[in-house]
Amino acid sequence: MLVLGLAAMLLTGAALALQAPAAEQGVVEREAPQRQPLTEADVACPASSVSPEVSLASASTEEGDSETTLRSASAPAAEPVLVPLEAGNATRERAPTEAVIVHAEGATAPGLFAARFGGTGVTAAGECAAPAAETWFVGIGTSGVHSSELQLTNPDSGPAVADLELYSVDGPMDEVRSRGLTIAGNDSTRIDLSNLAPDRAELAMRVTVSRGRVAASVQDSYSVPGKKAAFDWLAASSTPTTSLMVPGLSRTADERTLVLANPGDAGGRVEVKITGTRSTFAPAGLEPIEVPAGEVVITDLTEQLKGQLEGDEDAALQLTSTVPVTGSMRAVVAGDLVQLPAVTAVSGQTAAMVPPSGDQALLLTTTNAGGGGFKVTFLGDKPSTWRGRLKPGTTTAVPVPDGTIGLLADGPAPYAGGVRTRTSKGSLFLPLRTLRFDQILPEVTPALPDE
Amino acid sequence: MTVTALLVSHEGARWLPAVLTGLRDQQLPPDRILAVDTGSGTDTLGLLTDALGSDAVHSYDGSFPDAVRHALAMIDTEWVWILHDDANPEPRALLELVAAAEAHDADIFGPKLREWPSLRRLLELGVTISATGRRETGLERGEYDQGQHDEVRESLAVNTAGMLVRREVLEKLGGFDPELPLFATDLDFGWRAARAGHRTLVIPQAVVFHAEAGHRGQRRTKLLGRRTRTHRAEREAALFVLLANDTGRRLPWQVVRLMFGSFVRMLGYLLVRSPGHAADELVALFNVYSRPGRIRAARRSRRAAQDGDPVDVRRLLSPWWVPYRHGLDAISDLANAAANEGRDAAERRRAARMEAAAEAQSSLGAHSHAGRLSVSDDEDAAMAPDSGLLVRIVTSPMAMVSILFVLVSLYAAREAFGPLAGGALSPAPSSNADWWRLVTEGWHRIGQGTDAPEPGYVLPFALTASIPFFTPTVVVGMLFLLAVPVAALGAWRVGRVVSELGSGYAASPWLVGWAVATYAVIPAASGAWGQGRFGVVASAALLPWFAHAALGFVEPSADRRWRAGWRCGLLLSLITAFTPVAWLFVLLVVVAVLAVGFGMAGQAMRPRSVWGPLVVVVAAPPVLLLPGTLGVLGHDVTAIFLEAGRLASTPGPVGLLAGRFDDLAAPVWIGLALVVPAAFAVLRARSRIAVVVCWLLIALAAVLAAVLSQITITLPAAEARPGLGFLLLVIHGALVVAVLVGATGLRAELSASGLSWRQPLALVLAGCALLVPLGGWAWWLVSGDDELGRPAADDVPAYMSQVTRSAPGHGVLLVRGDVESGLTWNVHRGDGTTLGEDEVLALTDPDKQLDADVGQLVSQPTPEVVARMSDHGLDYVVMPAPVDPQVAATLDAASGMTQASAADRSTRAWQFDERAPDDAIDGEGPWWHPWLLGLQILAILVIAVLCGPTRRDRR
Repeated sequence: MLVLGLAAMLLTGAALALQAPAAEQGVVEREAPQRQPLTEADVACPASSVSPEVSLASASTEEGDSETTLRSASAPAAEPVLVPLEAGNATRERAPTEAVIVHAEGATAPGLFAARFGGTGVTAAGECAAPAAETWFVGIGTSGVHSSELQLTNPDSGPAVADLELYSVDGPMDEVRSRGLTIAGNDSTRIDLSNLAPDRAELAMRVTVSRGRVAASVQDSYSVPGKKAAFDWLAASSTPTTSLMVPGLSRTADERTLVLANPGDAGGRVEVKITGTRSTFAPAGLEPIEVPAGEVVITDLTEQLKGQLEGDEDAALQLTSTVPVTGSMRAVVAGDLVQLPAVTAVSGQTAAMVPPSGDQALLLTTTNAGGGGFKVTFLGDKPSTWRGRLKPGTTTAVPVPDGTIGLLADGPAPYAGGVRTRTSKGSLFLPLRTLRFDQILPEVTPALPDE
Repeated sequence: MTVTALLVSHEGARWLPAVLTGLRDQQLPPDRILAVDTGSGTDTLGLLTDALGSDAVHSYDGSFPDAVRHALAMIDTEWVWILHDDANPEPRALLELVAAAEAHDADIFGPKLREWPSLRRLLELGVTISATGRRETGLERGEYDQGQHDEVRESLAVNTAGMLVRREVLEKLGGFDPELPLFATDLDFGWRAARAGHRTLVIPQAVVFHAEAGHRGQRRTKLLGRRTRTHRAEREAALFVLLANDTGRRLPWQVVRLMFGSFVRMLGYLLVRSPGHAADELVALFNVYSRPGRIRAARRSRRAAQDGDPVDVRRLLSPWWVPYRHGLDAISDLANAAANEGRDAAERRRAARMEAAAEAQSSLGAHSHAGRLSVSDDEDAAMAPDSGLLVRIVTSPMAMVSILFVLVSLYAAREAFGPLAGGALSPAPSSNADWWRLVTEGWHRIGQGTDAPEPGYVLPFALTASIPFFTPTVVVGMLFLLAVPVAALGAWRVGRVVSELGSGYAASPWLVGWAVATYAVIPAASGAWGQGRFGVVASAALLPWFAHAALGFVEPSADRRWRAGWRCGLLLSLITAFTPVAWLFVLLVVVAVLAVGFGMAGQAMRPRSVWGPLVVVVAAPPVLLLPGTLGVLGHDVTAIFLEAGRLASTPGPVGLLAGRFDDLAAPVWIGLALVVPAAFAVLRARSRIAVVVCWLLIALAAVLAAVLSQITITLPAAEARPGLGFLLLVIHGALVVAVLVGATGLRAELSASGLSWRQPLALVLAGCALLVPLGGWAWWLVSGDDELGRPAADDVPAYMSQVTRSAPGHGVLLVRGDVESGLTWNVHRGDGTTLGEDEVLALTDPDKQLDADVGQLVSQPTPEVVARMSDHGLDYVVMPAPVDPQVAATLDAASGMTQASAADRSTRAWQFDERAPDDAIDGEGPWWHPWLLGLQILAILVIAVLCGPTRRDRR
């Protein structure tokens, strides 16, 4: 009997040892979502009182039928105008001065991008924004010297709703009631931000779309003391992250202000490095910048950077933060305002439009993570390409041939950059942006009953 | 006046000598004695001719009425005194009857009938008939004659045994009705006489002893055939009498009433396990009702015999309420029997214990210890028989501890006072009708409509919730509130028996109390309670009761073994409905027991009453859970081993041994502390057999768990594994029993033997064992982490819920997730997914077309896809937060649907422009579902009846 008992115990032990471990029930293996080329794409260009032209391009490599149209975003809906855009090409078209919606169907839809330029002698550049769920603008102001206007465009027929959140140097502006801004279908709304938060010098703004699709852009005007007010479009900054780049720093500037926004709940510090043509280095005498939670921090870098950039070196700032932040740099070059947004470095294909006139160069800045063979394709009347090898942690200027309307950059390592244009009247900068070529087809499965 | 004594005999040799003696001893001898024999053997005839002479004995081959009519022709006296061959008159019987006949103006006189051979009990003092056809004597059963009914009174009828009747009345009324050869002859005759204006008097001073041979089935008759279906003949006669004699005005009502009454009586007989009587009832009804011509003829002949207006006899019939009183009596009898059953069992055990104790005392002799064999329980000793209930409770420490135990467990489970949901527990449906629909409908209008079988526990839930003032919420709340006390009560009952059986010592209330506390906290400490695993919680409460019922298999009485089989079958079915692995485990145990039994003691196992009940136990669940067992065939069959409720994680090997489901459970080491004393319990020789049996059960459960844990159940939406909750309960329960048996009587043994290593070891093991209940309860009371809570507000806005509740065809498509990691969808209908629907939905194959359509809707919604959504029975799309912007933007831009409002800003909702039809998801369930359901209900009724207590008072 005793033997039987001990045998039962041993059997129990053996069976327990062979038992499969504890398991969660109903775990579903998910496959990666499928992708397919976009079949439709929209971008919305901001209104421009001075420029009747819009530059359009499609980085698409698709073949087949396509139809690209332009229409003004105003109710009642204007009749769309057909635009002769081909896949993998760029063109400049006349367009209404109001906000304009560019709609592409078919082959031109993947990689559609556009911009419009303005100002006397072309000193302002406004990207045509694709509808996005979340857009950040850093460096807007509502004071007498510096004021901003937000334009929201809804490319769909149904109404869309956007929410605004503002952050100031004193913290998040919860008191600003700007939730649930409704934009009618095919319409565009302009909001003077000074009505929302009057008399603030430096603000960061987050535009989120809760319903429908909305493309957001901001027009900024800045009065340099003693000169007449300059205006420029404010390019959207990256969504908050811990590693950012501010490309396109010019050698000389009258004024350089770095604006950082920390929308999180925890404070942090941001380290600033400069990536020049030869290397990346920390500027002497520049302490890490403290960014308290929920606040916008302004740092005047005019003096610090003055001695650091030699010759006609092109440079970029590398920002490394302990908490997710976003930011931008405002520079005044030859009396003109230049807004340099903080962006994230990406590898792969990016694109930017090229202004119709001026001394242009494409600046490419690699991170310390790596370099490699880069390729730039110039779109326009005389398409051409540039190939070169970029070293890690350096900034390279690539000359842009005349007659170029848009360009596509492609690189194996993370990089950032943009098209810098100098004219007699000032300077402007258009950052390289990633394009949407694909549509994600989500894997759709029935839920378990308890979900 | 002249009297002829007419003795009608039929195979009455057993009683005739006494009857003839009685007849001879009459103080007033009848003027003439005439005997008519209706076809008896020679012995009866011989007795008659010896006593009366061959002239007075006539043979006539016919029924009693025919025999009387035959004899009537030969009688010329004024009065006829009819006697049966089993009716023995007292010497003064005829004297008193004749005296009464002279004193009273009446035509029929009857004596007081007393039971023969007891001679003391009253049988009849005149009879009447109730409206349901029952023969009413107005006496209690077995009432002793103490002169309490000794006054002359009028009655509807008197028994033909000892009846003194005026000859001309007998002739005028045409004698007894030949349609009533055996039963109710007297009632019919009395009724007819009364209608014709003749009075019937009962003369209690005249006494006749009657053996009621025909009624008791002691006499074989040609008319009834070999198998005497007394009951059927009695009922047939009663129905005939009522229909033939009642007034024409009341006849239609009587026809209907008798039919329903017969059905009710039939059900009653079925409930007390008398299928023969039930069949008699039905056959009698059929025999009478299928020949209306017979009734018509009888009524016609009665009308013809009537001269002048019939006399109203209603005052002589029994009052209208009498049948209902009999019904009430029957029910209270049944309840008493059920109540006595428990007491009987307790008394039998007590007697057995006394016996065992005496035996042990004598065998151990001088080594016996005074404390060990104290037979009377502490609680019984404390309960003085004359003290009030309250006093008894207050003065009994065990009662106080029990009350405290229940209060503490209620306090720990206080969250269940109110609607409950979370973990594996879905919210209860708002109305019990939802549960009944799940049970009764083969096609469930949930999801996209499905014929997947509903889980077995829905029927008991629905039945419980059908009790007045109960709702599904109350049922679920009670399950979670009362599981621990119910488990404790069951453990207490089984613990006392097992500890005695296993160790041979008297059960110690404190040790059994330890076992109760240890076992009862398992549902909570294992995490089953806190994780909403209501299936495991219910099984934990039922398992000790099952074990207690299973102890009936070792009863010596075959009837009790069968009873144990049916009860175990019913309880196992209930447990299987919650934790289906229970059936598999018991099947293995039964196979093992039968194999070992036949292998080691084939002869002892041979009788059907030994192995039959065991087979009943494993055969019952598949039959009682019929729609589920067959309905699952179209799906992955292993899915029947899924535990009740939403899918919940399975325990690992250590958790299984320690009685813990991973998270939200008491620490594992507390549970493992029980394994040590249970293992050491094997070392004690005296209780070794029981402990080894426990360990064999544990080993079997562990092996089964190891096998089941490798099985993957492929559900349409995901993969799952069989639930191991029941095995966890079995292992922990067996550990508790092993320690309990191993410890019973140990203290006395140890204190008697000299100090050695055994005492310190026992102390350490006792510490380990004590840690388990203390730690478990402390954890439940103090920490008690759980996933339970009030049902969370739905993601579906209230106005949509109103639409979905309006008809099953209206649904809300809920889309969750994001494009990168994949989206999931499900359909919300009615109240959303409620308790009982999870398993159905988990078994349902998703609608492929809908799946494809949803995939297209969230990526490239064409107008055609949007239009198809209303055909799928969908009115709205809801995307709870966090909303994927791409999907939201896609749906915003789609035509054919408009944005809808949601209570929560972060939730997005859309409405399809076209409204879904109400019957969008209607379908046809399998044709056999109603049949299976009927079979299931029938099987449940049958087994419930078979579970009932054994009736002692069989006739």
